Amino acid sequence: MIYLKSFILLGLSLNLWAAPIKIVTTLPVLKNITEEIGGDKVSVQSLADPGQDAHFVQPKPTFMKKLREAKMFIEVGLDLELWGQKIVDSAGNPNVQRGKPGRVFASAGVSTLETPAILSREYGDVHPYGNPHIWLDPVLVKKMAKNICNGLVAVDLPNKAFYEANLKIFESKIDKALVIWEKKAKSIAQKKLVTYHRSWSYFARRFGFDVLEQIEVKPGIPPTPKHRDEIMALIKDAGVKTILMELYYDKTAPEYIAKRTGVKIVQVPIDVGAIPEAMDYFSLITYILDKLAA
Amino acid sequence: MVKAILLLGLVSLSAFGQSTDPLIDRVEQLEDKINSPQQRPNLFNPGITAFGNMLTCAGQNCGSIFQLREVELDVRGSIDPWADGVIIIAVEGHDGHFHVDVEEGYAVLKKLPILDDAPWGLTLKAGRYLQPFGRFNQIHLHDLPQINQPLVIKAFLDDHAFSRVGFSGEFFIPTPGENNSLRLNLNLINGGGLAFINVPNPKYPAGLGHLSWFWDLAAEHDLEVGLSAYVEHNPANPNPIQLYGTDINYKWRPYHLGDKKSFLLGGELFVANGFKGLNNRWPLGFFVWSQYQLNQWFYPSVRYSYAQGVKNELLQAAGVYLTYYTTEFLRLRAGYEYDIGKNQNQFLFELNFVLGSHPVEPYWVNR
Repeated sequence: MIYLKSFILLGLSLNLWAAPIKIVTTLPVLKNITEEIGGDKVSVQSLADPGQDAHFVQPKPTFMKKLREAKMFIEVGLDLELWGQKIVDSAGNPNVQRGKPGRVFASAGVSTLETPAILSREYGDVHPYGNPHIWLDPVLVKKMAKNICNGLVAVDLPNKAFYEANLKIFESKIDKALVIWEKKAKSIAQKKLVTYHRSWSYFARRFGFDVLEQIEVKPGIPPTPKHRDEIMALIKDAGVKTILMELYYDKTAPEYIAKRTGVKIVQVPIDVGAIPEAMDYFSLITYILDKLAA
Repeated sequence: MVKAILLLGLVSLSAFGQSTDPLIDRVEQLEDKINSPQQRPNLFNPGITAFGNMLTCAGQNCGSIFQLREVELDVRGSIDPWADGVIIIAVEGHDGHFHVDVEEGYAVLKKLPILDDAPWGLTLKAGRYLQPFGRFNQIHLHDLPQINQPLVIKAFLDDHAFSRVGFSGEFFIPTPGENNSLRLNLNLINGGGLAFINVPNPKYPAGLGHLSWFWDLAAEHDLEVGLSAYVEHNPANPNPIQLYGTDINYKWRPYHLGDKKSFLLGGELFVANGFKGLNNRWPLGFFVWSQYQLNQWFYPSVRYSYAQGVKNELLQAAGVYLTYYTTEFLRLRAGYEYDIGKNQNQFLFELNFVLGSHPVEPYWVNR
């Protein structure tokens, strides 16, 4: 009996000392959510730089090395990170192949906006499954966190209760923050926005903004002088006061428009960790709303 | 209709304020089910991409002024849970005549059926594929940063690109640190037929290896150094035919500017030995090139190539190029090439277009 107890205790101790699960995510925001759910049971690396455009990450060999050792690979999905599959293909890691528990699509089951009725390059760089920038809606982030939690449980069943408890805490933190964020958003008088790229649809829907037009002619297609002039006319007609855009887009066209219309340019990060003021998901959303309110 | 009823239900439920009623959860689940993106109906079909490449040439030794140089059909997808397949058919045009070639056709074993985990991330490839001798030889015509393959590739490997039937195994060699990776690619292929020797038919087995060390110098600066070796036992030669190479590539790409700026500097050096009929026993060739991305659209580039001892000739060429992209799917490129050895000038204009689901390019292809 003593031996049995010692054996169980030894097993428990080994479990306590178990090395954290190595996880690789495509984007820093996924790393942040995974760390919220996984706590000290996970060691997470993100491939994309926080200040980088998620569409144009290039598959470096060092990314493949990082993924080679991972037990889990988390991506948004919805064809946002097309480069992710290239890394999986070259990493030679069976844990993260499609259909394995270690391959997690955080967008699974999320209702997307702007799913194209016609798939043609004539419409620009369209995403066939709909707009993939879902993490900018905190309510959808709860769904993403649940998908990540399910993935963690699938690869590490003994810690199921731990992950599920952390998920509840995270959801509760989102719910509490959402009350503050919605109040902040309501206080912003100017609800009409022009954005650079079609990244802000979920954010706008959640916080009651009205995105009238994009500076890009079509997704991924930079503005032409004609389109720029049309935007200026729209801004004047509709009384738009703000252009909302990501840090990594070229400011030439927005500045041209701002100079002639007096519209304010709000340039903000779209991912966690790009600036010191937005090092986690909560501070990211707060920062964006604060900049819009300023 | 169903959606409308569900939405009506949701609205009426919401009217009573925030509720944790399981009915709301159920309605939300059903709504998610309705609105979730559907998988494409062609899910089991492979991804198909077609590339078209047209060249206009003015100057000396141009051949036809207008050339449809290549139409390439790229078909790829999963074969089963263990393997992926790639087939690339190229229809190549020259002076109004076309011929069809299987540029690549191979299967990649991404998981081994016997072992759960392949040692060192080993991936196996079998079929016909562009051989990993240096970097440029692995880049298809439509992805090249200049209009043609460098003179050195043409002089030593193949006029178009060196593609052979064989097997390859690629794996990571463990290295300390997170910011570098060392990969070795070993191939057993049908040898022969290299451009620098006159044995036309690939007949004798050859071994080819490429070792590449990639290093993240800093957040936006990358360096890759590669070593290549090709050895072929050909009974017509007293010694094994050998070709060695090294390739170096540096890339700067600032993250905060999206895809608006980049700088590439690279080069490859080839040295051959072990075949009859040449005065120079160690023919040598190299090329250096650079490309700077001015903005989202324009990419100027320069290249200089040198080869001596191949077919008892001194070959030298230099070129300047300006590339304009409307999107990644349509590229226009103007170039001027000067063949120093033959004192010939060419003015070139290239149009490249992509139809379909463009596969993700290799790392050293900038767009």
